[in-house]
Amino acid sequence: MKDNLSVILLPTNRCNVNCEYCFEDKTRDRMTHEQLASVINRLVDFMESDNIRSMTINWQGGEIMTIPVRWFEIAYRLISDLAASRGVRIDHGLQTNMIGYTPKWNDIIRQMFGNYVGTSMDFPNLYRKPFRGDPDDYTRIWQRKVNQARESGIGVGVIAVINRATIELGARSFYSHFVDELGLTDLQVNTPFPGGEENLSKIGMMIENDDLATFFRDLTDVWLEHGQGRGVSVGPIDQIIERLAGRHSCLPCIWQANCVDEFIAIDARGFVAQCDCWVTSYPEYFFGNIYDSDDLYDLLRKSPSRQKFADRPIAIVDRDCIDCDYLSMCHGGCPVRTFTIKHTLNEKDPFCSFYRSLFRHCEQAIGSRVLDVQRH
Amino acid sequence: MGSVIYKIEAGSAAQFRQNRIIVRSFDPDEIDRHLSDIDVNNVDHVQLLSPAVDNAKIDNISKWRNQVPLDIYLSEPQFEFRLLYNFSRVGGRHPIRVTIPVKPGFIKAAKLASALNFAVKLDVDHPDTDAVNEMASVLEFYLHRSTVSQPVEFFHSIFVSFYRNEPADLWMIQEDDPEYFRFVTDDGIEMAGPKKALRTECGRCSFREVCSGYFKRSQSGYDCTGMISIFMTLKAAAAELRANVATSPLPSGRSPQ
Repeated sequence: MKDNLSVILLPTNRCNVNCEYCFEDKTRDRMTHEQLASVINRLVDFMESDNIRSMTINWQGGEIMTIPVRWFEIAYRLISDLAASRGVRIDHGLQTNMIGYTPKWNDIIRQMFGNYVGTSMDFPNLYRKPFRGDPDDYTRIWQRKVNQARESGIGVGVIAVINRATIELGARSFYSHFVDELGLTDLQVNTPFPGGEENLSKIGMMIENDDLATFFRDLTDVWLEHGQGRGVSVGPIDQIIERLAGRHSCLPCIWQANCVDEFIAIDARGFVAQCDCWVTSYPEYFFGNIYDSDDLYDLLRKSPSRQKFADRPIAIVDRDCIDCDYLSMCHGGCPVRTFTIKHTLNEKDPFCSFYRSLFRHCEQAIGSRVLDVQRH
Repeated sequence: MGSVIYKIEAGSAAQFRQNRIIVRSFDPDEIDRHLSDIDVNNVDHVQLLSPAVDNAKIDNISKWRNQVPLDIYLSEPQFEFRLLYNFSRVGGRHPIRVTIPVKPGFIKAAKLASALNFAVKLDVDHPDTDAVNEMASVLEFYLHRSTVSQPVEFFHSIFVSFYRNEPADLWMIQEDDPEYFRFVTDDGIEMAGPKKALRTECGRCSFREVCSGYFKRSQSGYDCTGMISIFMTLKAAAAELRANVATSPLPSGRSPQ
């Protein structure tokens, strides 16, 4: 692990909605505070063994807001006291569908999560839906909740997954919906992948690389024209631009040299895996169970599953990745996208041609435009 | 450049505790063990003689109580380059450089090292035509790919010297100047490297001040044509950059000096 330990923590595998394309296999498990304390202690033990002084816990589920606010108030005090006693720094991030949000969450969001929430919504929303209702119902509830949170001064970032209807409407409409209509200026745009149990929605949601490439190239142009330097962040495009321009950047997890060096995920049952995608759906790739192990470092080191992730870039680089101009940007891409589509870890990301097209387009944009970017 | 730097095997570290040293070993645990006996401020860098290291030992590098620079030597770059991925997790703790002998297929190692944000040093003896062509490809990659963010030596230092019209010394860049770098064998014998000297046949070469016969060391009959073309490419690139900078307006609207 690097200088900061990044942990995706799922204190609950329960969810309050019924999205058709969800890659998580839900359970009703929820972490107790006693279990949380043992997890945090083992994480801090790991940090000490590896000379790491800070940790970021990215809280998600299931759905986080199926847990009472009070649980988080106790959890925050527990973790803060533990961090102080052991001389480490622990920061927190929150990812929620916002469907269960009420103003009761405001104080803990301010105190524990930096007055900021990450949430998700697609445009148009085809697959996210409540247990009773349709996607339009979900969208209405979500918008109301997000507006409510923002009126309370809470910052909101949105992850949007592209679907076929998004492609048909086009990048300009997509951008305008979130930025101009909803006033949301912190976006992350993701590609779909058929994780978890198969269903018709997941089969139908896949998009051709050429269509993705066209959409993202158009979105790049729209953002460069309307959003860059104006407080609008559209990931991963803005970070690609920063990286290619030689400035400090933070590319998403799918393009790290090896995600196994970047973070781990732990769910409510104590299972440890590479990320939330893996820990909720693929038991054959679990690294182990933290409740059954006194030593997280040992658990990770001895895990054959983890070694498969560690070996992945070594296995694939000498095929065509080594000849790619954008190896440093991608490193063979995302293991879960590869696995869910190609049913193996040891091939490059199936979105390769789309990624290359996007990188090339961003590189050309830097070369052909005068970019009026504020220096950080 | 100040005192002599001794290139020693890890077990000799204590004997050279008063000197500046480059510490080498196949075993990072051995390096760590011997560094604990000395002042690491005297350590220029440590050199791992192979990337084929057990993962647990690589993990241990992250636990070293220092941030001493780490050089990884690839004796077979075409085959060993993939193993550099095992060191990506160490890169945040220690500056990493990969030393790559100019052998067939070495471009893969240079590209991956660069992609992992590691510096590169080319270990150049007397490259033949194919090797020079591969060097030219690496040079093209270094000069023109916007994704390259770490130096590829000796290209980088020579390029900078051409750009700034400042002197450069290839022997120093390559850490081979016998006046300042002394190799000590595993048996403790201090080896005298080839002498740095202009050869008669260097006389008319326009790069003799930079090179000082580096490519004719140990092989005075070596045909430097290929290496001269490399220098010429570097010189042309530096001139092009200087011209671009001269004609580009500064952010404040002032003209460049």
